[in-house]
Amino acid sequence: MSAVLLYQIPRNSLFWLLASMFAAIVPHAGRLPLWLLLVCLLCGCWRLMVYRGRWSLPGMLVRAVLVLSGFAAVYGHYGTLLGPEAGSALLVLGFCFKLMETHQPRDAFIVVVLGYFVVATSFFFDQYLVSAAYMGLVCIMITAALLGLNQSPLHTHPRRTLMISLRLLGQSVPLMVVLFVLVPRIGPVWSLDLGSGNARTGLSDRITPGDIANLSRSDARAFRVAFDPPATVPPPSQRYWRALVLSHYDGRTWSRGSVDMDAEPMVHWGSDRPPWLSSTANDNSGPNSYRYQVTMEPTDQRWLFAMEGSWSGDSGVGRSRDHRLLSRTEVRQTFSYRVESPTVVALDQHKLPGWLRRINLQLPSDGDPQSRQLAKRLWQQAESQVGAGAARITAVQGPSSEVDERYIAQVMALFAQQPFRYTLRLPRLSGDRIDQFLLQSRSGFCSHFAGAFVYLMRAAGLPARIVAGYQGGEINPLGGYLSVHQFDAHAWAEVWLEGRGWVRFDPTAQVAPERVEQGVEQALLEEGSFLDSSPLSPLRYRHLAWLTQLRLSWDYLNFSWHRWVLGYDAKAQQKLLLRWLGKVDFRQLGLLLFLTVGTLLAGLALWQLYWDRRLSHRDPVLRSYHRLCHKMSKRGVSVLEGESPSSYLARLQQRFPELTGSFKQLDSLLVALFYQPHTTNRAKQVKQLRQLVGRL
Amino acid sequence: MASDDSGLNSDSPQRDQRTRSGRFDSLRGWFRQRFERWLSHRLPRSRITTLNQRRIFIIPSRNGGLFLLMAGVLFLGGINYGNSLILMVAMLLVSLFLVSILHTYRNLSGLTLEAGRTGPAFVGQQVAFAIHFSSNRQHEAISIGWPEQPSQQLNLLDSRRDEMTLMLPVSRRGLCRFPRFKVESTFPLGLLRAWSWIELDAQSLVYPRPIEAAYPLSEAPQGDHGDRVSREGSDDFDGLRRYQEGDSFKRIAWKSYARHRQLHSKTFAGYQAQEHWLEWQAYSGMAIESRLGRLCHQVLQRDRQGQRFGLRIPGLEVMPSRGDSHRQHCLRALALYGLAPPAVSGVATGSDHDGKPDRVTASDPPPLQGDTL
Repeated sequence: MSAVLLYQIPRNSLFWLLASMFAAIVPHAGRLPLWLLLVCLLCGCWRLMVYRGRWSLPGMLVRAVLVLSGFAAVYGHYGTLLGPEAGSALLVLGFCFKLMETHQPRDAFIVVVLGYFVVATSFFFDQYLVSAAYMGLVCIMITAALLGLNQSPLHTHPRRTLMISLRLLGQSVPLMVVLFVLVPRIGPVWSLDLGSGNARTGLSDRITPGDIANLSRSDARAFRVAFDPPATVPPPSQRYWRALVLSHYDGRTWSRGSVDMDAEPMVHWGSDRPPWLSSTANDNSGPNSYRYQVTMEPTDQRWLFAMEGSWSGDSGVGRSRDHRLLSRTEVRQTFSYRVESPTVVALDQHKLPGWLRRINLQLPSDGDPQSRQLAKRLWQQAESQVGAGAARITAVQGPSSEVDERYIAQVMALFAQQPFRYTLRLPRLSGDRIDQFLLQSRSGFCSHFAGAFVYLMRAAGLPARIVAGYQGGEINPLGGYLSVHQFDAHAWAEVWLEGRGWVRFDPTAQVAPERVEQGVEQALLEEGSFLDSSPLSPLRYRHLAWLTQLRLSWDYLNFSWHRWVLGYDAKAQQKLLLRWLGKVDFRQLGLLLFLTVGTLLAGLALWQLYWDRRLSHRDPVLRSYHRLCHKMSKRGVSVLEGESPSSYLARLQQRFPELTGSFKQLDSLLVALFYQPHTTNRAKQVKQLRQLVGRL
Repeated sequence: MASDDSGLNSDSPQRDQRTRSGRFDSLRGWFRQRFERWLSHRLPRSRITTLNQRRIFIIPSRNGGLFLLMAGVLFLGGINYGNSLILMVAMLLVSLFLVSILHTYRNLSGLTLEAGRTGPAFVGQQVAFAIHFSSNRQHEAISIGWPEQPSQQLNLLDSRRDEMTLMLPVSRRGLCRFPRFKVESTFPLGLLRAWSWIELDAQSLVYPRPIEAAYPLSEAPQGDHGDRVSREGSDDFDGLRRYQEGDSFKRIAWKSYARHRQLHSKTFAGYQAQEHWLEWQAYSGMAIESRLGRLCHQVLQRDRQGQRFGLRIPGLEVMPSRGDSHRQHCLRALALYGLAPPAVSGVATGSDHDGKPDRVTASDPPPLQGDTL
């Protein structure tokens, strides 16, 4: 028993263990509570002091108290012990505590194993290419720690350990790739409800003027769109990516209203036609549609991004009554889905149900009197221009689309002609916000324009709603895909017109056409407020060509990472295998997997065998000597058959008297190395020999 | 191939301690025997052995099982959360395991073991077996030893050769063969255990345990040189003569060596009238081992005193003489009394001996390897 208690983690291993512990916890640091980090630090220091013989490992009681209070504290902090957040906190805690309890080699092994777990759980929160590369480095360190456990305790070359670890992992990578590609992806074994994630930047389902403006200052990526074929990217003015429909206004904030459009009767799952789409609705997947794949960053929300009238054949994607795409679960990881969008859209063009009409005509019972007044006046103007009869402010029914369209044109003209300004520097609004915006400040952002527009539509009895999402996107010439950033967030309006259905109107385009055509940056060029809170963002420096090139290449790399690695799921696997091998069943796949792994391992073994043979045939001394012979024979003196190194070197001395010193030294070195193989400084001599020969 | 059990003492620690009782034990013994037979057939004894695929066994260790279990848990987690990177970590661990099969094997393969010198010992002491290791590449953290005993670690990093001595406690006299030992390694990752059983062809004599007791017989002069004054008595210093092989080290005149760089032996003149014979009959009535132990003690004592003595045991007579080689012959005779003739060199053939001890005389010393002190 005493021998067991004396177990010390070998120095070499401890070094890498502490280093990898530090490195593995760093990416978690932002998420973990401060006290936990302090505990980790304490454990690491304690372990170090134990190694140096100053302190001793904590006793049973101390450990029990530590573990229990650790659990309690994690529970107190997260309110649960399950889920990725609390789970990873527990894991980090366990990793540190186990480090304090290494009485046997087995304990040390468990610490290392926990290290791999800590690495793996970090991918719950962060899957970017850079993080993955970093975690690869951490894996090298953890493997080095594992290696150190199995080395002699006297071995004190951490670098050598690292090199072996590197070699092992390097040889594992091809195997890993094969396994990753070929191991059949099965669906979830049990269903999980992940705890709520941390707050994400992104769209909000409530627009109070000012919200989207904040978004505009973030250069984070929202999603990427890869078109198929890549040449069919729609023009900028068509790139409206819908995410949310806001139809309720309470005088201050636009929100989604009381009808839950994300719940069952309002959402249709499956690839067939939703019941609310008329049979003539153009959901034909003819040549007149865009096919694309969207790869979105996690939003913790269920809404997805797509153009108007889209549908998706993916199983986890549904279509809501307000024609948006929805994910079955919250998007907590980078998520990809395939979409088809018609180029010509007509939604609900024949009939708008009464309840939907009511929702989209809702206005607060009072407030903004001047705007209502304005609507009335514009309507009358439109009517008089068309010369039609009945006033439609009070009438709810009646097809008079000409007046409707005339009215809309009037309102759009209002935005174009009045001195409206597109700006991120917004004045404060209070009270009758629409009145103030339309008649006084006249400066605002997309949500202001869209909000005021919808208000005017509803005031005139036209069903209208705000659509929030993104507009635009930057084409990456390398990959031919579109990158949409958070600053591309946008809000626009949809108005329902008899016979045409929901039609998109973007009042912002009237005020700042360049916003739609060229993006926010151009729209804010004069003002200079584009990304002004992040001065280092490379997106601010688009005028520097090389920087843009670099940024786009990097973006492309990330895109490929997301598409081919993170997005490699069961469906992608099927598709890939189908393309490479045709139809394969599980049995064939298993056989293929077995053969490929076997071949790789056999290849590795053969390579090792070859390497060892080569090594045995050519020991370093002989290799240096042969090199010397080769060099000298090029200068005219080759070694004779049966000639000993000494006599050869003597001949060389005669031939090249100026190098006598070197040859003499070589002679003595060679003799020593050939005939005294057991000297202690052999390694040094070999090195010396190699250098001497190299210098000749 | 010769079987192992040719009546020789092939001590191994666990076999000594084992008590065979009960049916279960005998069943286990039977299995063990079968296993040993299979093993010695598969890995025959030889003086020099290079580890290769024929000799190396490899299986996952407990840690390896744990490692794979962890990879499995990560795989499930990755599948359930739909997280490609967690899946990738799981795959990486599995690949690491697979790759480390090759590396664990490679850490043993190519290692050459050669029997080195063995030192004789008395019963109750330890026999030292030396092993020479050589290889043309690096090997690390290989543990070498007998099962169920603390092992020694071998590292061939900077040099291509190393040497190690294994100590074996012995409890029976006779010829002790180098027992089968284990060469084992879990390097690099401890996920797999590769091992081999090595039986090097080396043997060592185990002398009887000396038992201190007075010599009971009166040492009557015998033979025809009985009452002559011996020039080589040990009583008084007589002079120096050139060292001859067989002279006792204790008699070398080291001072003279320091001065003249030549080995001389001191000669003593005395009037030692007798040549002593150590007789088997001296301890009549005792058990064989007690007799041998007492004779052994006498041999050692007389050698220490530099006496000239002979040894007579049934079937063997060592003519009176003195010196290191004489002592060795006597001890050897005692060690092998009643046992098989010494396997002189190489593999014991053990074919047709009838148990009759050979006659060993001082004039005809058979070369005995491992007995060169």
